[in-house]
Amino acid sequence: MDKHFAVYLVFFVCYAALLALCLAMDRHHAQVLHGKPGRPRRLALRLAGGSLIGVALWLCSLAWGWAIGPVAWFGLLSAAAFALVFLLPYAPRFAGWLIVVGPVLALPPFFL
Amino acid sequence: MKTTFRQSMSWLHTWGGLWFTWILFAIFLTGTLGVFDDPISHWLREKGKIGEFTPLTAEQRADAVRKAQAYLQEKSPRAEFWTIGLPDDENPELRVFWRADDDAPVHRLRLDAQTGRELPPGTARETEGGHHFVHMHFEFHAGMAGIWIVGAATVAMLVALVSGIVVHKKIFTDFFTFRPGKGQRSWLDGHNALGVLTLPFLFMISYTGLIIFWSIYMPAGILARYAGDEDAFFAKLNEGPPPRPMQFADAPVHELASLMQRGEAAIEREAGFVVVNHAGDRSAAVRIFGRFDPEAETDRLVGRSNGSALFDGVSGETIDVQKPNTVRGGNVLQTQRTMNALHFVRFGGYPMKWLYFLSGMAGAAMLATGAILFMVKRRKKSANEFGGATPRVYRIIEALNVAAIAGLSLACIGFFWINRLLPLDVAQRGTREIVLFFALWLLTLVHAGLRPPLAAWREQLAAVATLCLALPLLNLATTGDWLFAALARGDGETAGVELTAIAFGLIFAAALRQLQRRMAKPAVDTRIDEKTGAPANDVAPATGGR
Repeated sequence: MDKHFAVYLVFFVCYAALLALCLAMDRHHAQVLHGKPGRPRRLALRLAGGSLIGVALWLCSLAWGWAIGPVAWFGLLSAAAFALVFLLPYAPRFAGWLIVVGPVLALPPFFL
Repeated sequence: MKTTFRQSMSWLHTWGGLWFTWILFAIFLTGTLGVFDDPISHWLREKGKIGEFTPLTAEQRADAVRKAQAYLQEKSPRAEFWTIGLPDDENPELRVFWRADDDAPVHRLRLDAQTGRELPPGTARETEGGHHFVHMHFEFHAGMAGIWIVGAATVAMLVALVSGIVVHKKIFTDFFTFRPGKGQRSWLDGHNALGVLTLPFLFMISYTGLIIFWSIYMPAGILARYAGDEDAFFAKLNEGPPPRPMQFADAPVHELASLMQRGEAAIEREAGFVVVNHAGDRSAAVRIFGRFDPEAETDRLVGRSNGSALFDGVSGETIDVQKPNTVRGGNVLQTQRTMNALHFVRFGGYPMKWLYFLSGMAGAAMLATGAILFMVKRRKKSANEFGGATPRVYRIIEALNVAAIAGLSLACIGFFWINRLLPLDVAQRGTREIVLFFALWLLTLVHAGLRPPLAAWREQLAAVATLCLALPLLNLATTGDWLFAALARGDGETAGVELTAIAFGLIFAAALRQLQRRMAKPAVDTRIDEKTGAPANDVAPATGGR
């Protein structure tokens, strides 16, 4: 996998994972989507978040191998977490939309 | 009164953190800048303007080594070491380094590769370059004393990390929480978020930083088993030939150019350095080092050897050859090298460097918010830790905060300005730049001591923002090169340095604006929190010293 592409791809997978975990919490669900999540939705979000974090690690191993991959994984998780945590108070709605807008803008240029 | 475990950890985190935070901030900030030491050197040396370097032919290299040997022979026929650095992309001149004996200073000079004469000052922008930040990072330009200070601070960092986790009660509930505009609460949120989200990085970088200097920090084994003879120990550890102790008998150094050619043939790579140990002595040894190949490092966590060949410095006999891209030493050494590699981020190219840069800056910001939080909390209500002296101690802490955080940032961006404004023909220009860097830093401390705390913050933040934002203009005014010219010719290193400076300028300008807003408001926020009925800024008194 092209490493620059991998940076963007894994970043958004990490962002999606953290967004899901974050939405599973009452406080942040209210911030982004209003209201509290029901029990099934909370479980689904947790499951999605957890598995996406795993997917991100697997993608890192494909791009960088198992020696450097985990380092990239930690780094991109931190980067995505910063984006999310500092967007939430200032632009909570956009924090949600970023997972749609971001990949659409960032990923296709690699296939041109 | 009985204190709980968390309370004692809180005490440890507050005071252990505070006394080391200023040193740690300096280590983090300069270390993070050091991630990009090559692009910074590129900018400081005006490489983008000078243009591409034409590599030397084998004949030119041999000739350069001949010239350097003649020069060193004349300057210091007996020496602990001679080092000849062949011109390369990073340093386009021929460089010589030597030291007469253990106690003498290291001499470093640039030579004209064609004539073998010293280059007069002013022929190039002589500078320590980005290495200045790396040296600040691990030793504060203070040699062994600096290494020990940094080591002690790093241990304090690990202690602060562990105690910080214990003190942070709601690590998971508050994982994504940042509430800006709420005074003390926001500083604590920011401190927590920055720390928690980079925790794996912070542990890794602190621990591996200690491991790099293990033989200095933990010399007991070498003292006990090898009677303190480090050379013998490392020769065994690296599976190399035994060391060659001084014999104190004069013997001429073998012709180096031919040894370089034989070395290049043996390792099948161009030479980068020629090092002579114990020049002029019968025990002299000559090592030819292969040129560093960044491509070979990109996909590997553990960097591999550049290759080297070792010769008897008098007879010219081959002692040892290590081919490039081979690994020597046992598993313990490999583990240690892996940790070095993790710390130095030589792998993975720019994407990985940017991730380290981001995490490192987050670490620096975490330290800064912690130090500021300490005073934000006490500005409203003194905790009276020092009895009658408390106001004076707080005053000192405020001043140290300003000078260590805003002041060091000012000195760092100031270094770029010093580099462009200091005349080219100053003797010892590289050293002079560093002296001026420290002078500027000291000046910020004096300023912070004289001005009221918030005014000192405002003025120094304004200075940093201005110097950062105006960096491309300074470059344009002094060298005629700048951001847009660099972008036009595709010089990402020059453009990257200036764009990063602008980004930092904007961050500091935003911090300045935030501070001015706060200063415009009355000193104490009298709003009442809706839920608890307590003043809005006064939260969580139960967290003890934090």
